[in-house]
Amino acid sequence: MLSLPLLSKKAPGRVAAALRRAALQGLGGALGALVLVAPTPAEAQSTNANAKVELQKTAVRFDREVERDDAQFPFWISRQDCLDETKIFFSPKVTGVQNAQRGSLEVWVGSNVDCTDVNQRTGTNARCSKVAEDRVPTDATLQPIEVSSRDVARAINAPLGTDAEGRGRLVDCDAELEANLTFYLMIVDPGGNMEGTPAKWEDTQIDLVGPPPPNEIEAGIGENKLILEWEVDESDERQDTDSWNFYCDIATNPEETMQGEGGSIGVGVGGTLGVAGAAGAAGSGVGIGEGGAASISDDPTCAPTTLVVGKVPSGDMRCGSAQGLATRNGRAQPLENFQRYAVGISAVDKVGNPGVLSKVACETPEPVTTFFEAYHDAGGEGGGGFCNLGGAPASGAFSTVLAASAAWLVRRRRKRA
Amino acid sequence: MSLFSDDALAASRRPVRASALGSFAGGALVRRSLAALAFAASSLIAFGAGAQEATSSSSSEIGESDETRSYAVGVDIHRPKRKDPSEYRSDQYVAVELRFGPYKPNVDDDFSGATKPYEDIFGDDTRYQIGIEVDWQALRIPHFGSLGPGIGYGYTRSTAKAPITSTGEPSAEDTSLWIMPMYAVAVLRVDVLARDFRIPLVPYAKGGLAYALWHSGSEGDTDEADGVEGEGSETGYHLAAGLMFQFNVLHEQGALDMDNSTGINAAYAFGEYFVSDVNSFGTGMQVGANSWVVGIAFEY
Repeated sequence: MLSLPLLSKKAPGRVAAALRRAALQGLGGALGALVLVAPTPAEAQSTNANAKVELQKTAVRFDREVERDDAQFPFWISRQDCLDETKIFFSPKVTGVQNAQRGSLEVWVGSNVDCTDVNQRTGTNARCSKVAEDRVPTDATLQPIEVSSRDVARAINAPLGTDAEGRGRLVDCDAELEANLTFYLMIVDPGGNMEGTPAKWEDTQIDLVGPPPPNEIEAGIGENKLILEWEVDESDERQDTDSWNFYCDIATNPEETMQGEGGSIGVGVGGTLGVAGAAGAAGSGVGIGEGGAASISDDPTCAPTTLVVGKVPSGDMRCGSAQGLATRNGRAQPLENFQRYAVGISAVDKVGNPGVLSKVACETPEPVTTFFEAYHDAGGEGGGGFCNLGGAPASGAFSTVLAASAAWLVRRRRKRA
Repeated sequence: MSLFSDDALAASRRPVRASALGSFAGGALVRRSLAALAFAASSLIAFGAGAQEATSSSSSEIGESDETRSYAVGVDIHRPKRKDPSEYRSDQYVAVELRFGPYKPNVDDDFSGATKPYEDIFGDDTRYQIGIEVDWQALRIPHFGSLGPGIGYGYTRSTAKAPITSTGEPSAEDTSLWIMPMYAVAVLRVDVLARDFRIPLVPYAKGGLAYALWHSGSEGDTDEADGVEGEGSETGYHLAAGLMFQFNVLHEQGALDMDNSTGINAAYAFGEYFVSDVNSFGTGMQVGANSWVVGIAFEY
């Protein structure tokens, strides 16, 4: 019995007794409420140790605007996925939950590491990162858990255990990141310990890197097109190259640019396109870094205006493509005749990652004379389509003879029958 | 062959000269005994000869007296005549040819030498065609050959670098012309030499109508000039003559075995010269050619 002034036996009369009764009733009610709300001893001790999280392949979905088919590794995270922050939806099946109020359902990701080990989830040496969290479900049905591809890239690039500087490192989706991933869907108690059996998903890899560029680019003249040929350094050739993209830019002549009247010449460093000095009238602001001319093109008079050799080019300047790892030629079109172009090539892997731009080659498309043009210009009368049998009378005679032959054959077979 | 041939019976009925012993034995008994012994011996020999002939001929039957001879003591043994292997062949209806040879379309013939667009673009390099022909040997003329219709299909392609219009120098862009020459012809094959005289040569002649598709362009595109598409179809005629060499004579039993297992009656190598004029009788592109082909042929 609590000892309170209100309950003192010295309170006069019936009022004191009534007050005492009310206080006792209120106290009893409060205690009863606490009993109802508070877990029973049994409940307070129940865990989700028997819970099981399961994940089928059909329960994982990547939400992309353009779907990738099976040959393009649809479960892999590509550079474009990173840029688009493509959402990954996991819809696990959870059974055996005894205490839905305890802990949460979390998604952890790591590369070549076991995230069920608490030391990989916490501490300075942790190599796993949490990328999603949801309540523990009370039945086997669960709303999909959403994971961002960009978050996964950040997590792999700077895992949880990385210091603050590392975690703050920007992932611009151009990072050279290629890794096998394992996602763990697990129930974690308030203390950070895993409960029950987790689900693992190992079909996803992250690949943000395109293949290396080809070399020995050659551009040949065509009509409204350039015919490209290239080679690949065998030591660099990767088996994951799937196609080739061509990029076209108006060509400039660095040697002419450097000779601008009255201007000084800007010199860059490191062989990349430098910033020109105050060039004269002929200058266009394109300077050549030390050793840069050789790194842009094998032709010292050839350079692009906007394209940057050694960088992943913008899709806006694409002017053609070719399919196949073994392909070594293609067409850049449509282009204007009598305009000099600088053309470069980047390799593209199976998940669609473009590599950096190769050196460029320059050439000018011109009109050519095809065989049919030469034939027609000489006065030839053929052509006009497959259905155009030249000469109505002749075609009529031909058809008549064919029909008569067919009729004779049919009649002969009927006689035999 | 009868077990008791007429000759054997006749021989047995001929009076046998009695020997001294028979005379000494005297009498009809001895004569009859000797006669029976002679008949039995002649019959035995005749039976043995008949059995030998039965194993060497699958179609021989008892009773064909014109192909066999009797055997009797004192009569020359004559080896039965062997069957002609050609009589064991299956029926023959069709000939199939696989053809290969150079093909240069006579496109430039339409311009009377004033200009040569085909040669200017594609040069003098030799191009080749591959083809197939199937003939139905509808009519067999005994001791002469076969006559029937046939259809043929071929394919040839010419490719070169298109010249730059302003300079005439070769560009990097390809230009090409493919042609599919086809024809429906009557085929006369004179195989009497091979069939009747074992001379493995079969001359033949063909003649009929020709039809060809053609297309000019590169990498799936179709060339165009003044709004006219660079593709078309042409009609004309096709004539050919050739000579076939039959392989059957090299190994007749092998040829029979091949026939039994595959139905192929005969196999040949052949050479042929053809003339085709396929320009829709002067109104289209001349895609016919005068050339030769070689190949192999099979008759079923």
